[in-house]
Amino acid sequence: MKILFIGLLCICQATAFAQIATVLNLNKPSATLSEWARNTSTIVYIATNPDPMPRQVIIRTELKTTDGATVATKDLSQAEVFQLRDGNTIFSAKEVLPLHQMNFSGSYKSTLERTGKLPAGAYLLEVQLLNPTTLAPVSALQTRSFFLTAIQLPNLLMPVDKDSIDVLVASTVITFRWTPVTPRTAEQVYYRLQVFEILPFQQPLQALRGNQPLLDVEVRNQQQYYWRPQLALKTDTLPKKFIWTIQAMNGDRVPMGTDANAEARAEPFMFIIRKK
Amino acid sequence: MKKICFLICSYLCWTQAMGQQNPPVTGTIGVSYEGYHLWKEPSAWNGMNARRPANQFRFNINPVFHLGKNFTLPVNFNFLTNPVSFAGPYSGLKDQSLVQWISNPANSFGINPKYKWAELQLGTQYLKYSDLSTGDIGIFGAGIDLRPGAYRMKFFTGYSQQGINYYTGPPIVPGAYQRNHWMVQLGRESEGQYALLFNLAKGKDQLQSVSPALPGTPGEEGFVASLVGDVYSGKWFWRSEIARSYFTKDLSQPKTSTLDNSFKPFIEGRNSTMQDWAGKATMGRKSEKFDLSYTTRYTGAGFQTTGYPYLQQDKWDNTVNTRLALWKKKMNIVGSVGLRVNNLSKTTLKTKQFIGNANWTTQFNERLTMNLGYNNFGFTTASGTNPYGVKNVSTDISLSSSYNLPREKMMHMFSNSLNYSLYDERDVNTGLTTTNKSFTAMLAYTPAFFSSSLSPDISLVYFNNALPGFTNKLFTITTGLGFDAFKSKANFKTDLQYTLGKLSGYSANKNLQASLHMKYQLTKKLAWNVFLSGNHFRYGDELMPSAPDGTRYRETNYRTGLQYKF
Repeated sequence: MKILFIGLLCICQATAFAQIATVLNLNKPSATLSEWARNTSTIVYIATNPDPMPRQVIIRTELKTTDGATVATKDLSQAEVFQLRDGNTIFSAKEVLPLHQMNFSGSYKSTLERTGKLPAGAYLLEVQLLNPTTLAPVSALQTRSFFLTAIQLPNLLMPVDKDSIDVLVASTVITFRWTPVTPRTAEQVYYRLQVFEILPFQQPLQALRGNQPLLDVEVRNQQQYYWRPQLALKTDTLPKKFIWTIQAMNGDRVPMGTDANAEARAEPFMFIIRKK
Repeated sequence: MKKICFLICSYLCWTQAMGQQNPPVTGTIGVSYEGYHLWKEPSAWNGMNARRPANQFRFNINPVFHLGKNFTLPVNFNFLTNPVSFAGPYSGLKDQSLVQWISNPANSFGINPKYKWAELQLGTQYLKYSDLSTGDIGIFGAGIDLRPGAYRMKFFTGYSQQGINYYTGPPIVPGAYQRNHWMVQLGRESEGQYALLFNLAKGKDQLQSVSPALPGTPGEEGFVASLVGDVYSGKWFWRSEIARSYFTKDLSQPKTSTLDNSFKPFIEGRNSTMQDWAGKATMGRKSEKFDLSYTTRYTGAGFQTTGYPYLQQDKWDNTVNTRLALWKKKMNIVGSVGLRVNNLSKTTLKTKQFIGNANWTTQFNERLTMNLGYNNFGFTTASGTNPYGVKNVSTDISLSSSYNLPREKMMHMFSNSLNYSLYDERDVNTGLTTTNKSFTAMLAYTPAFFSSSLSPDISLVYFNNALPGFTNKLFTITTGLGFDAFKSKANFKTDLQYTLGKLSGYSANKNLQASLHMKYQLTKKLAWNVFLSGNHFRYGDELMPSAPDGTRYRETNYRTGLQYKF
């Protein structure tokens, strides 16, 4: 009987200290940290409980630079307690990196408060499950490195804002130029160039938001376009005003808007066609 | 449609009745129709799409009623029967409710009754309080603009967009939350002397305005406070504004206490809230012959407002502008030079953009005028993860002149322009720079007859764009004729334009355009406008194999409208 009791105790103890298997995946993290929580695939943290009995855990998260300096640590006193049932439990950034429970240090905190981002650079994400009472680790430490840099949308170059173009030249061709999306990656960038006529009694942005574009074209990986308007401008009432903008899109034609606006449109410029 | 016609007729009758009592009414009222048709061969080819609505009625009702010495009532009703947007939250939305139609950005319905210094603002208003607070967005609502003496007190509230549900399409409607706005301005201002204005502006999406929640589009909230300070003293001036914004990019995220990003009671910080500064200042001297000014403008990486939705962040611009008038103002030189630096927040690659331009115009005598222009833009970034950084340089030089040769019965007018443009782009992987060269030449001749309304003209334009291994040439000839008819009550302008285009290695494409514009003055105040244009474009074999040799399209555009000027 005594031997049986000791045997059972050993089995229970072994179960209690059994490590929870974990897997951490990090997929294209946005430079804007709050966007991680919106996308369930940015962080995928899978915890596998080998025991038939549910176990309570908290997630310890730490952000570091690659040279080891601490960027942010989770406030464990505020950390949510999760109950792991038998099998796999999947966590996303919402649970792993809840910004309202993270304590950011020094300049990282002020940059995050100002911009919603961290300074561009290489970082490490460390995640581990802890016992909520003893704070003892119950899983191996998972570490993933990643690089953060914000996207800068194009700036319009030409025609410069409020530029006047002679109707005779404009009737043949108008040249548009803009700066590229930076940083440049291997990913294809499609620049959607749109030109809208500003009708009489319209405000410039009203035309952009309300009219059908006279030009709506995608340019792949280039920052220049020659437009042949074909608008019979010379006989029409002059001067005529136009507003133009560039929308930056990725290979799936999804706007790359994380910095300035969700539509990923460059700050629009106006130009005027008149008889010079 | 019937309701609109009834409303217009009622309005016209009313204005007619008002006219009999002889009240002073100024402004205009008009209605126009535009039709458009696109034909293409092969019809399934998707390289050209319609670029105007097939049928569109436009109404512009903009009278200003002056009742007594101190009361004015400007009316601004400008609307379309079929507004369809292609950018912004209304894009793709076809079947619109009455409220959506009224608040559609293509339409505006506003009246601004004003008594002395008090103005009531009702309906759609495009209110610009300052450059950094609010100004770009049309808001449908109500407010006041009080200007007793030098004091300024403004308040306005309303919404810039209605709640629009997501629709999978086609076409896809991305949807939008109803966005409410509030704005206040307090201060003192004396035109040409000083301004001290304090602005508050807030915008917030109403998450319950759509059902279900929009996929991938978070609700937003923004608040901005700004202070405008302008001083004018003789020829010197100083204009400035400093602003601080709080902007929540995702209202569904939890509130936070670990980040210091609240500004209660105006906005409560969330995980997705950022707060940053922006500022601008211009100082300089302005006189009849010489202007010189320096402008600096900083926009922080987290500065965002709902009043300027496309404002680009994280940049610092510095420019020096000058103007010089010589030779009894017959020679004018205008120039500016500046530098834009991005990424002061260090959250991305650092970029630099150089901006320089100069323009010299001289009227040598009554016959000859010349203009020389120069523009330069340079854009560079650090290399980042690539072997080389981005380096794009755009340089444009243009020379134009006009020469008038008077004779006894007519004047010969010649004008020409030359433009040479270089655009260098560096490949970030190889470091090799590609130079894109463009050359444009234009020559025009217009004889003007002193005793006839006939005004013919002819012009030639040549354009050549060359890249390594590739050229794009265009040659355009345009002839026009203008004349009066019906006892000079009608003015006609006609135009015929033919363009030959040639891409290297392909057969030529051809484009023929014809147009006619007529303005018929039916009465002293009522004008009838007609515009007809046709455009035929035939490609060479440059589209093969995706489209056959000779692919072509034809556009017809016709507009007619009546405009009454009070």
